[in-house]
Amino acid sequence: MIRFFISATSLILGLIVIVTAMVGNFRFGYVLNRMQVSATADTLGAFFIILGLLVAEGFSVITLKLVIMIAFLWFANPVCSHFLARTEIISNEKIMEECEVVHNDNI
Amino acid sequence: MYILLFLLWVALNGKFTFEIAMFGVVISAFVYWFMCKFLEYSPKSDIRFLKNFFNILTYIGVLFVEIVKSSFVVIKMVYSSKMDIQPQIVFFNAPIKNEFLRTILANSITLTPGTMTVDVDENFFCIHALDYSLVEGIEDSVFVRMLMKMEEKGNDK
Repeated sequence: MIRFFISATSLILGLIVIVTAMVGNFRFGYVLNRMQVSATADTLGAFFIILGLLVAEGFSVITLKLVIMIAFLWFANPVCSHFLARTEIISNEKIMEECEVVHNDNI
Repeated sequence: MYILLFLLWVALNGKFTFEIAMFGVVISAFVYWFMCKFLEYSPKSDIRFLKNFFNILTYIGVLFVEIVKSSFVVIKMVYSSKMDIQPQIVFFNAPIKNEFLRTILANSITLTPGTMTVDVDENFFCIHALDYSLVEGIEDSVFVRMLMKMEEKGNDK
């Protein structure tokens, strides 16, 4: 019973995070800001949902598989968002209008 | 690493019998040989990994805490009624020499919601942030300090 409640809470939290990311996607205008918000869904949302599934399933081989899944997600996700961001920054000529560029002086 | 590969094989198989174990031993030996030969991997790096094992665990913990913290900052931004965010692109210099650790740093910056690595060139990191408060003091953040500690430990063999 307690296990059910923990897993349900975690699943609901994950859903809330993902819905938040969706709302944020519509509220922010610029591509990079949108990507930042949707990174929340990819990390925290996915984590909460997989945690909920873990607790619901109990300890078995599926636990290991889910852990592998989250490790894979957390490794693969930064790479792809990095490439998207880099393409955007290289190809956008008016980047200065969207965000302020700061050089740290200790270079 | 060999043990890790074997565990991965068993986990993906789903059940543990003698046949599966034998196949696993052979296949993970082959994969380990392949990694040593073509991916610049060696038993030496295994030892380095084991030396840093505690640091790696703490690093994962710190990364997780940071993700949760900045996630809540971002969620608060999404639901705040006025959109007063100042996106920034910050260039900074992280004195990490090891390429692998640099990749880890870039990945963990991207993984944290609100900040994203745009470009890495040698020591220079170019980072886009959703708000200026998220990148304040990033050049000596927890990540950089912990990775530098790991690098020192890996070097003095």
